[in-house]
Amino acid sequence: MDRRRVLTAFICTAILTFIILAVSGCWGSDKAAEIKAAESKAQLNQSRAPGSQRTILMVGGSGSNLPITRVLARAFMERYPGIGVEIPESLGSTGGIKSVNEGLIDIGLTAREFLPAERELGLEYIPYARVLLSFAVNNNVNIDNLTEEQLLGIYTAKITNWKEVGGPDHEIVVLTRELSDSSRLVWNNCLKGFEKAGNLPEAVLLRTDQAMNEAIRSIPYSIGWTDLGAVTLEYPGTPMLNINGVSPRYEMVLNGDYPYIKELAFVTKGQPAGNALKFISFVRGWEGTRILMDNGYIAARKDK
Amino acid sequence: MAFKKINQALFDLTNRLEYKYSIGLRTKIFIPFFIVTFSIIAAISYYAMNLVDTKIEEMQQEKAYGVLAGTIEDFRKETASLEAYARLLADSPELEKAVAGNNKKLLYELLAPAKYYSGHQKIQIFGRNKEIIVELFNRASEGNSAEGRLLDRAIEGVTGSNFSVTGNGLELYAASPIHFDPTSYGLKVPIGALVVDRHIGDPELAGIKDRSGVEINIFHAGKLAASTLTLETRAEIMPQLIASMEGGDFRVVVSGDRNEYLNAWEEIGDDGKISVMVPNEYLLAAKVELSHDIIRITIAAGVLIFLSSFLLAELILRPLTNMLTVTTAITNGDLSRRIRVLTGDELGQLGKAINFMADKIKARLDEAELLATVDGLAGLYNHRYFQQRLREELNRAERFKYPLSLVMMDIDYFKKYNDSQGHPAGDKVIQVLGQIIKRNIRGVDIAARYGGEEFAIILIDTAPEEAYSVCERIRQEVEGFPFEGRDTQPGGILSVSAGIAAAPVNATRQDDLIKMADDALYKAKNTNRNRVVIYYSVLDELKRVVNEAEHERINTIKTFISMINSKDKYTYGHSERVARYALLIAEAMDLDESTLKTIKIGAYLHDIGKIEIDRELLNKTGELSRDELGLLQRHPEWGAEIVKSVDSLIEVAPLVLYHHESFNGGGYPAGLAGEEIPLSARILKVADSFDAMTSLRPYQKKRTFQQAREEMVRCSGTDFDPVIVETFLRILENIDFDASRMVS
Repeated sequence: MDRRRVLTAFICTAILTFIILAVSGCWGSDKAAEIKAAESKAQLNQSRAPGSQRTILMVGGSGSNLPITRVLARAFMERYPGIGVEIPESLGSTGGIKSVNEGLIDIGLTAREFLPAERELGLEYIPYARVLLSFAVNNNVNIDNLTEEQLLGIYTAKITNWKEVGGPDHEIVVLTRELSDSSRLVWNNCLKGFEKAGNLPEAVLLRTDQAMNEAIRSIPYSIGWTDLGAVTLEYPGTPMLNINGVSPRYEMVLNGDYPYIKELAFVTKGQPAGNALKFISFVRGWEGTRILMDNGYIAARKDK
Repeated sequence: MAFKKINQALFDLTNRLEYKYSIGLRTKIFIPFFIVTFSIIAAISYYAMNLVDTKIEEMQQEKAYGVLAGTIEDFRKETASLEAYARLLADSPELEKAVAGNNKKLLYELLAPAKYYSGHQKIQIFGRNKEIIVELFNRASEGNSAEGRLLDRAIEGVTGSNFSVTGNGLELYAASPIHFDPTSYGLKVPIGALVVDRHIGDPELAGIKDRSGVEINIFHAGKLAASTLTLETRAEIMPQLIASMEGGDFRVVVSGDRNEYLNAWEEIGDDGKISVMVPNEYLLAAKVELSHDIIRITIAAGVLIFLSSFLLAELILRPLTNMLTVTTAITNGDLSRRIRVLTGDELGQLGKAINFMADKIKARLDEAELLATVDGLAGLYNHRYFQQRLREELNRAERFKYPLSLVMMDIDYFKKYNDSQGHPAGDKVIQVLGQIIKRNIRGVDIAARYGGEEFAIILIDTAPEEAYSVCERIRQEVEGFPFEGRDTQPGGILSVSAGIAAAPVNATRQDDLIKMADDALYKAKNTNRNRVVIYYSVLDELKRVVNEAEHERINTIKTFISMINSKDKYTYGHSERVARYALLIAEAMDLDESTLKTIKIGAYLHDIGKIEIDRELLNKTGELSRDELGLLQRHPEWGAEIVKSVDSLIEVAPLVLYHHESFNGGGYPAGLAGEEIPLSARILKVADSFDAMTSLRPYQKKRTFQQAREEMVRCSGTDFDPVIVETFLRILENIDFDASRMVS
């Protein structure tokens, strides 16, 4: 009797021990599991480091296009993980067209139509968005409307102090762009006398959209022009001016009261194909359109 | 003294507990061992866990400070590169020319793109008198002393950089002098200074957080200026964070949803603090897992200790319990039990010692038992043993259905011998007799010294007749043995008398058997001694013819007889002689079988009425009073009553009733006379009286044969029937009286 009893006790205790050990293995905190999951995910993400094999689309050109095209490119790359889209800093519309023509980039970005010389290159012009233009002032200039005449006056140095148009008493710092700036072309077309005014010698000349935007934001008492897209995407809070009382808004464009818009277009050498076509179709498709609308841009004309 | 008292008290307490809860050795080993070992293990685990905690906290501390140092170092590096940037910018000839020419437009044109590309918060150009020439900034900010100092030095011509904290967050500053050398001689004179401010805001901090996995907080003047924490977390944690930094030392900050952080912080600039919060999750998880491991190990260890304590107790207890069981059995009398010795250790040796002891005890007991069963002098068994064996042998004889004879043997006139020859001689006789008996019995038979001069022999599977032969042999050998001084004995020889009773014929019970053998011995003694007598009881013979139902009665009567015999030894032999005489007379008178039988039975039973009479009265030697006499004379009536109770003995009743009637009518109880008295009764009277005369009675002297004869003649006609007397006397002449001499 004794021997069996001892043996039974022994076996029972051994089994009990194993059970306890096994069960207590499940005590590990949930936090630990979470952390482990997070770690492994991080490792997984890291494996998608740059340098992994992907095809690259070079897309470059006008600074006006850059903000939205960057956003579109990001969305595109998420949709097509195998294709990379690289967008260098502003080359300007001219630079973009030139580079496409020379085969340095796959898709060019332009914010204006071809110049006559460029038309002869036989490149494709594919609009994909439109954007509102407006004048903007630095934060410490608290006016919100200028008439065409006032604008002209500022840009012809007839008006030199903000107090003359209802602002603070300070010299106006006029910011301007090069004559071939795409936005300028719009102002030339739409603002009477603007073209003729040309550039003030004392106006601060900036050569890229980004520099202009930065200047408006940073230089006190300055005035310049920008587009709704750039403001939405990169410089929120920049006070945009109403022109002749019309505010730069989409609705105003639709009803024709605000005519100051410019078109953004892709430029390709020959018909777009392969990844370039994929990208362009994406942008001009419903996904691209949605992104445009979300960010203050208007879809391109459909007739091209 | 007190110590002793305490000791004693404790001892008493434990004793009481022990008895109350029957705490065994197993518990005493198991529980303390288990408790002690487990306590040690638990203590070690606890210590280990604490150690783990401490170590991990130290590790965390180190990590936090490491990250803090690293982050600050990063900022320093960035500041250094900011300084380089400022220098480059300030050294550009165009900038120098623009500043020298106070050309704001040009300055703006240079600085706006630069600001865009660098992403700095602010770029300022100062003149020599620290007046602002142009500035580009994202947000107006208040001046900073650190900034101011840099500007001062830059104006002096020294490039410098620093970082500091403002209400907006962390700011990196760099200032570089702007020189102008109109003469191109290399004599550069500072004409102003370029100050650049890079703002480290939430997005930048977020980048650092992504890289190093920590949360960064920038404090300015006690308030949070920038942080990588989410807004909710900020709200929760802020009070603790500030408190921990005011406490002045490293402390753990816990937020609401089980996220733990360690806060390492350092002061920056004039009124700023940078704090780095290292999430504790991983290390916490590791700590928890480690503690769980320790707990699991402790539990497992506990179980193992439990087991080993149990086994240890078992190891010691099992042999002990075994030994205890066997020892208890031995003390309870089972001397055949021995301990199974399995090991060679101390317990094994103990077991062996106990076994040895038990062997010794058994040997002693056996020896003692042997001594207790033997009578040393006679060389035979002793009384005690004899009784035991008789019981056993009777059972066996009954079971296996073989006869068993019991012999009771007695040395004749032994007292006389002892008196004349002395006790040593008497002892020698006993010794010799023992040898003689042993020589004449088989190995299976049991011979014992029953008493002082009495011997008993149990003869197995022996019928009384065979027993008789054996006893005869012994008797003859004794008779022939030249005992010292035997010629002084009556008859010139030393002799033995023996009585034999057998089972199952005579009795089945031990006491009955002995009684019967004794009776037979007594008979032998009363018939001249030096003879062997087989037990005979007429009543037994009667039983054969009487039906079953009356056996009971017969037995009762037998019992009475033996009671009487025990009261009055004399009576027994007397009845036998009377029976003999009466039968002789009856035969001589040619009476029929049936009458003979009746007379025979009557002779045995005639004095049965004496059962009602006191032994003292029966044996009284002096004169009897009238009452006593009256009482005595009632025994025929009583006897008759007893006899009548047995249907088969109805015929015998008159004999018993009238055996004291006198021929002339002067007897008792009825005073019948002559032919009125039944013939058998008359015969019985003659036989009875004759024997009385020739026997030693307590109340009269013994008469010789001649004297008795004369008495009979004298009383013929008065007490006795003359015819019967005549017949009897004739018989007596023909018999050799000596041969039938009785009475000792």
